[in-house]
Amino acid sequence: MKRSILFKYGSLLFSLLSPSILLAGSTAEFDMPWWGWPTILFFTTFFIGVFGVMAGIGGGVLFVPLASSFFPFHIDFVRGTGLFIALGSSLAAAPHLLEKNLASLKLALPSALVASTFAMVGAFLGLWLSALNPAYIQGSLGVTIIVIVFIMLFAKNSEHPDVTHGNYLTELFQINGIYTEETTGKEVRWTVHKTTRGMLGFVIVGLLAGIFGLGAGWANVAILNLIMGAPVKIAVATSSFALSITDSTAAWIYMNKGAVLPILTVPSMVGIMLGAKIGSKLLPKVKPTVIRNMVIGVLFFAGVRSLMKAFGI
Amino acid sequence: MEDTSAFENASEQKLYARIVYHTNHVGLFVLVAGFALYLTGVLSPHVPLEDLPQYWSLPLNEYLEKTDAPTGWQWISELSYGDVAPLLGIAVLASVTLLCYLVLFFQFLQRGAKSLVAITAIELFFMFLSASNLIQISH
Repeated sequence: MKRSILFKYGSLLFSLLSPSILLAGSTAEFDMPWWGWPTILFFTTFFIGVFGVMAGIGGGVLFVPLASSFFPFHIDFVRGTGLFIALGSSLAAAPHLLEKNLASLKLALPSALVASTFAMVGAFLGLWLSALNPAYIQGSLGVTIIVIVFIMLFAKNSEHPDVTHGNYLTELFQINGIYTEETTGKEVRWTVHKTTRGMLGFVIVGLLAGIFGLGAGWANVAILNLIMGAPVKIAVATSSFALSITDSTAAWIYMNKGAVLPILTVPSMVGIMLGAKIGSKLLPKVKPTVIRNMVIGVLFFAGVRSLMKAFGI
Repeated sequence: MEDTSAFENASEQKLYARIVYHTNHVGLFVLVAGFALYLTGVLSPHVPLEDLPQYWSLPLNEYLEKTDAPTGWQWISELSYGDVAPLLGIAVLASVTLLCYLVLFFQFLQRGAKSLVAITAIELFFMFLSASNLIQISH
């Protein structure tokens, strides 16, 4: 039974992404009209949106390796678009998450400050490295994506972590809150600890977001939940919301440098937003773990392809 | 026994949510409208649509040299070009968080939350800095 579900979703996912995978390679060989690649990109991002939501993975982390490995667009434009995809998805999700008190402004403000500052540094570093040789970015993206795959496979979130005493920073910013657990109707009061260690983690999150144009939601959740001890629902929602803050500094830099091509960015943003809406409606009907494993598989494949592309294979 | 009365969400959270909701919708509308003007040819672009495949695989510097595409805030004066018009919507979306932080800053200031005023002020500084295009890198 499990195998057949796995096979069904696996084949579906690969068949949906197959146009970009099959047409990968030297684009000069394909005599396609100008609208061909943007149309394939639109459908690919639509399905990234559907499966990203069902797998609990942000769109940016799937988009950048897939689009830079299997599409003809230069990695500079792909990274610019990746940031706007993450920004757009986060802005769309934020109002609901904040209204429901699942995303916490008090938790997001200090973490996003650290991440967005380093995202700015990362954006300059990424554009500088890419100008030296795009293979540096493509190769390190491949390695990063493969590391992310392993983090996703082995990091197990904790629903309600035990939180010991918060430190000075926790007290200073009063990082705590209350939310209503919908399954039980109970009010859950939460706070965090190890805030300094968490903030150091956001330095890396910010750098990666800026260098590669990744949303970095996968890392936010791990830091907020596993290191700082926020309940998993708060960690996931705050991560989704905080991306709109983290990515905005880097997004401006890519835009100012001319690395935002509307013909890539607009279809991708619209595609992923529509897909995410459908995905959230399908969510109750599917097994998230099965989808998550499938998406991790595609991510691994894209990471390897990115690495191969860096070596000209 | 832990003092649970201290647990509360920021009172500005709902206001922040409302600002994001409305400005995001405005941004999306402007983005799609600008893109429609581009695709339908109502506004002619710097680079004709059929020539785009020759350019989108080029490294950024080469692309900018060959297409004369705008950088920094030049796009404001070139909004009549089809491939620049969608940048207005993109800029609105990139400014949503900046606007929210401006509102937050004054809200925190009003209620005397010094540490939060400091955080929002530093964040605003970095947002304005990145949006200003004042920082340049040389290769």
